[in-house]
Amino acid sequence: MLNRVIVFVFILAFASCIDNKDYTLDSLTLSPTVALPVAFGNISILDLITDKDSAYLKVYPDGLLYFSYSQSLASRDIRNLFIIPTSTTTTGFDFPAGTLPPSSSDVQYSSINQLIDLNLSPEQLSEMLLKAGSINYNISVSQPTVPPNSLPFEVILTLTDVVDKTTGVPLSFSAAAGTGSRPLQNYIINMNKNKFNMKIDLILKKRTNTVLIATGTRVNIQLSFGGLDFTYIKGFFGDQTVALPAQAIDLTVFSSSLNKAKISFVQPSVKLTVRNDYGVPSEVIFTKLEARKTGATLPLQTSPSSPVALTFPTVLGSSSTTTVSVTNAAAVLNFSPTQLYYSGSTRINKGLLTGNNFLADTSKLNVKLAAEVPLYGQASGITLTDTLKLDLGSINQSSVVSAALKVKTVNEMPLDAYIQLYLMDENKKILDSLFASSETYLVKASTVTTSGDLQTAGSTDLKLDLTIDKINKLFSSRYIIVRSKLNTSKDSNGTLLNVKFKASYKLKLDVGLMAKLKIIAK
Amino acid sequence: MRKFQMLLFFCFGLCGCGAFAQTESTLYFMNSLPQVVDANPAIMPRYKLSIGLPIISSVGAMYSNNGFTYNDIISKTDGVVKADLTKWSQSLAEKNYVTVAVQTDLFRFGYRLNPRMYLMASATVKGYNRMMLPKGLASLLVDGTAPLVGTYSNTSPQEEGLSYLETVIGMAYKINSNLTVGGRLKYLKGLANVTTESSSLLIQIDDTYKISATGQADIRTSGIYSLNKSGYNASDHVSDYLRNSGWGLDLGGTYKFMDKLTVGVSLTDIGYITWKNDTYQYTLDPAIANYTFSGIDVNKLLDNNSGYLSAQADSIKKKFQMKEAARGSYNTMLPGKLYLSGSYELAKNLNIGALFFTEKFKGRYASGLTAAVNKHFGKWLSTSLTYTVSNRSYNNIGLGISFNLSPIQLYVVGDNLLRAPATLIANKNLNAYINSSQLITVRAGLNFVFGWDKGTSKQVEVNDESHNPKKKKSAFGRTPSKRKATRFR
Repeated sequence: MLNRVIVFVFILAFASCIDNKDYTLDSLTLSPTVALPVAFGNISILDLITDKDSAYLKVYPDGLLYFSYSQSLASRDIRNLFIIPTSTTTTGFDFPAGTLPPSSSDVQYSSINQLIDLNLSPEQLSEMLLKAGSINYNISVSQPTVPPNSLPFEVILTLTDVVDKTTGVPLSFSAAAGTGSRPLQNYIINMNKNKFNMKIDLILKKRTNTVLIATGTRVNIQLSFGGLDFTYIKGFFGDQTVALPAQAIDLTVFSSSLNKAKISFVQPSVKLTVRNDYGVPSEVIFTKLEARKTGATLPLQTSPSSPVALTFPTVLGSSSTTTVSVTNAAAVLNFSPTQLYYSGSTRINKGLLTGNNFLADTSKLNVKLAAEVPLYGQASGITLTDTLKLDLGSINQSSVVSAALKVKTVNEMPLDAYIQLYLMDENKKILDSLFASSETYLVKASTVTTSGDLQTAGSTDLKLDLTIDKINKLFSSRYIIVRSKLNTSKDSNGTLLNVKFKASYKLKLDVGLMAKLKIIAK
Repeated sequence: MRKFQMLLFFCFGLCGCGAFAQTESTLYFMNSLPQVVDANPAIMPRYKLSIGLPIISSVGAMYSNNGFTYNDIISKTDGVVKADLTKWSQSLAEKNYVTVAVQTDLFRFGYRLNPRMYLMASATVKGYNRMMLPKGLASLLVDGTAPLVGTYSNTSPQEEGLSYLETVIGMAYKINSNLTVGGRLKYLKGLANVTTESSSLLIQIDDTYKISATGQADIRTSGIYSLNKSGYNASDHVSDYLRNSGWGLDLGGTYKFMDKLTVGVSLTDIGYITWKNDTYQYTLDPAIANYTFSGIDVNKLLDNNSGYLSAQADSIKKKFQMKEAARGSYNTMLPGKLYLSGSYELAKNLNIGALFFTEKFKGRYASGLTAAVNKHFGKWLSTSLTYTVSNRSYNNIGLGISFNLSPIQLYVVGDNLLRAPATLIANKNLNAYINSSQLITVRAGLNFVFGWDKGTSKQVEVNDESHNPKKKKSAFGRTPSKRKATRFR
């Protein structure tokens, strides 16, 4: 306690000899010069293109980037040409008038060989595996017997050309008077130009009575094949034409990143790939095949040219592919189309009278548009713009005496970038640009070899002084637009060169800010 | 944050508890005071018997700053006081040690058993706090990061603080007429400690202004951690605080080369304390505590990763958070001191002297030079006037005065003291003195003293009879008329 008293007394004595004025600060001044990193990045071309487009960007084994774009075109299903109609056949057995004695056993009375015609045209089918359908029958006796119903019989229907797909056994069944049906699912109908055979046997069953047959007595047999649907058909399908519906395919992938840009690709490839499951000689006739963008069209030139004969498979279940190249692909891509438009038709068995065609119910004619655009070429006028919100309200503007931006880039990409930052107020009205026009060449393109590969990375190391006026406007801004204008590498004469963009090429970017501050606290 | 709270507590706590450890050069020449043995145990005080009572015997304080004065921070124009931190930064030394120390005697006893032997015993509470602020760190805060572009700053702020109770027994012994040796054995009880075993903060800024920081620290504390615990009352744990013990030693010697020339050497506070109570360690692992701030990652922006910056802030905070862990005992050395002195007797009771002194503590040598003139005005008044160069400061005129009103002795002694009254007289305040000082030491107190030794170079002048008439003549040169006897100091 005494200790504290002494210290306290000492402090009091000491304090009485001190004038506090010296220790009451009127202001405190600090003049730091701060160097701060603002932004950095290791940016590849993948980062610069839109997310939508990046999904299509792929890499060749040598690292060259390319757009790979494919889209299936709606295809017309020619299977729909082949609808099997219901076919009906009527036949019967006549009985002479008289009496029939009793019989102790069943006796075959008579047989009929009937040719069934599916009535198709121009198809000439030879084989059909059914997945649905039935044979329907209606059997009746035209005159009553005496005594009534004293003549029992049955009809045996043997479809010799309709065999079980598994066992190969012909379809055979018996039927008494009346109606009925038998399913034909999983039966193969072997035909000769849409016709096949059927045998009908009339069997008189044993009887104990004598039967009186009236004049004109007949056993009527009505047969119909209905609801037939096939798993496959074979034969000759005839010379037929199917119209392809007009289609417009979205191609904005080639335009969104390159809007208003003047570009030239060196080795683009655009092709149509037709996969044909139909075992039918076919050709596609394009009445229109063109690239479109607002206010302009450009016809696509193909090889082979329209009509395009399609290859076709020779074995059911296989398929055949036909490739149609667009010979003016470079022009099409450089055209920056937004749509591919086409209309036309498909013709099978053109000029043919016979043939061994086949198709399955699952067969398709798939047409795919595939574009492969290596990022190899030249471009100018590519513009990228982004708007960022800016709020420097927490910083005391008056404390900034001077400022300068430090921009250092090492660019492996063959791409010059002129970047300007536009300052906008809260109404998004542009107040000023941050850099003088001579200061916007911030990213220098790499130099390239004659084959367009990276030779030397372009580098910049700039210090951009910001005037007080610019700083003031920066502080009053609420939005900032970053606008980049890009072009590919040029030679010493300023002529654009064909350059390659590879996945490994990066733009190393470092941006720093040096600001001299004067902070006065009161 | 907790660490800083503790450091602040320690820094100011020591000041309040009245402990002290310092290099006092003026005291060295004040052989009228029994406290002179603190500087060199071979110097025998002029009084045969001295007794110091708690607190009043000796209270001292020291402020030392080798970096700057208050005048280096402020400017005053027409009564307006402005602080200019840029000016302050420019005035700094590479390493700026700000030392504050306080001490008080709890007990002091000195007795000349015979002309050859002087016995001494004392108990003192001491405290010492030294903060090292590297210029690099201060400059970074004040001048900004721009000066470091393309280079780096490896700063290592340090904090050292200890308080302890020192119990001493000692003896000075005159081996022959020329050589006197002395020693003091100290038993130490540590109270609280913070020590920076190692620390560094490496900051690099590259030419694109990227800032890389790597921190490393190993800080140990004793008796501090628990103070932050709620409900903890240190007075309930006194026995815990007494678990920290150590030993120390002061050694000294004087040698009379010629009749009037005496040289002295002493090593004081050579010792250690083993800290066992409430020991904690605070570490930063450079493998973890490192970060490079490169600005905003454009790739993250392009990926619309909006949480990126806040995640980075959290990461930095986590990386540089000190790891706190209880640890076992550890040792710290005392701030050891070396004094080399020379003294020449110009006339009876008038000496001139010079002193080189240095303090070694945690790898730092703090040295200084002092020139002194001492005059005993009879037995009633002893004075010392010194000039000290130390801590990059050259305006230290020291003063020591003791009023020897036996059995009471009043004294005040300090290394930069004389300007204080001069300033006070001239300006009616001490501001100019305080604002321009980098070194202030002051020790004052009241001793009970008996038996003045007059001392002379020509004769034996230990005329104790005047103060202690019961003891007539000693066997060793106590007769004033006896020539060429040795004067004991």
